Amino acid sequence: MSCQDTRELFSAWVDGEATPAERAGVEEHLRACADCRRELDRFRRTVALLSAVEPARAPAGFAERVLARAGPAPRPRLLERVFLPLGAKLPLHAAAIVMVGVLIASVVRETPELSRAVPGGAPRAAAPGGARPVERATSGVGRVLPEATHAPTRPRAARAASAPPEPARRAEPAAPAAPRAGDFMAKGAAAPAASRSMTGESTAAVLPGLLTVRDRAYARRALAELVARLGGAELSEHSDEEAVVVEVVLPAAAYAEFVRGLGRIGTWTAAREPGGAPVRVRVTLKSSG
Amino acid sequence: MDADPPEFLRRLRAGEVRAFEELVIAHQHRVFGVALRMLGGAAEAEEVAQEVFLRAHRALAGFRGEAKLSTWLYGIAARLCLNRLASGGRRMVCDGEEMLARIPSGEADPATSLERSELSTALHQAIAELPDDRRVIVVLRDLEGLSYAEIARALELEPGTVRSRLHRARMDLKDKLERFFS
Repeated sequence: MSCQDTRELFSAWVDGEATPAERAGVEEHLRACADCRRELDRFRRTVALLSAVEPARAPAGFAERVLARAGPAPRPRLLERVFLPLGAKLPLHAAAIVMVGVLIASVVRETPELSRAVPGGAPRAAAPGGARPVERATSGVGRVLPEATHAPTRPRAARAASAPPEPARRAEPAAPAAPRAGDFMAKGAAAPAASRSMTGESTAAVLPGLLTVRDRAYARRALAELVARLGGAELSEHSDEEAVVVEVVLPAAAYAEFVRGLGRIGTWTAAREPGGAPVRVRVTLKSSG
Repeated sequence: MDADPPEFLRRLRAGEVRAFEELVIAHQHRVFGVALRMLGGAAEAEEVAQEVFLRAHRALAGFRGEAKLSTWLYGIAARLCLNRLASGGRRMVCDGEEMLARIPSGEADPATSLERSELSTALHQAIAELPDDRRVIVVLRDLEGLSYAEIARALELEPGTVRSRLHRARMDLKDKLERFFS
């Protein structure tokens, strides 16, 4: 087999798509030809580079917009059914309205560290008796491990192999009025209206927290993988130069593992423990540097 | 090759709204990714990706399941993109707003990081300059992970055509990226 014939087969050979006869011919030629081995190395590196390209993500609200155009508005929505028992909806709707107000007040009052982390955040009230409420708040939610520095790489083949319909990993609401990313405490309890339609009003009491990380881009990917792995879903994402705010919903049983996972991504500080199921968490990702 | 669950196909064919919603959620990123990498602009990519799902929605009742749902959706997306690009002889838009071929950095060394950024830009440019009929195959194979047979089915091409176009495209990319491999 000539050099040209061999190189013509590189693509099929690298992909395992060459016939046995072609494969044997390529391998025999490569054993004897240093030029073709060098050429093959460059070819392989090109293919590896392509495979390393980050997957694209549809814009937030894409699925909602498709569904709105496709026909009658689907109600109840997927996440509502997955995460919320029908009978629990109405009383929890009412409770959520109360909890929104309570959460804003209590979170700012009880977590001075979080308040300080927000530029222009609400002034913190002194805890009676010099107690440090934040220590109570964080003691149950895991501690910090050093961040990893490399993003996990997902093989392309694995992505393609997951083609059959998957459980709802991600459902974005129609773009809500974006809060400033840094305002995570001040707006911690307010759920975007579109998110409510996806998940049920009962979960409107958002648990806000601060995830301090070294590499925001890495942390963002790791968070997405964590949420997907635990059977949760991302509801919204907003970002600016200061922070990325991601709101997620999780099955209650997965919350402890979620907190452990956050601890592996960065330093997680939450305002309090979740009260019921499902759990809705607003994660503010901030760089530590 | 994993087949689509028969029960899911039955629900889709029956027009069950929840099933269609699951389909969109499961495939939205991949369909959007194909459109983005073929057309170059996020707004147009979203428009086409929405059209893919709307066409699928209209055709699901008659979906025979000869191809996987994902392959079928990729095929619709690819054809819509190629038709757009063919109409008026236009080329892929490269407005610089979206980096279509971002490579994960994760590098602490600024020099390495810079080189990686240059490599991302060069790769993006090289992909954009491929002829449309080759670029679509690179996108489906190397960025989306389809097999040769799935690509052939999605694009209604002979497997040999897929193989040769993919090889040409990769060789072209290799030549353009050669300086990074020294």
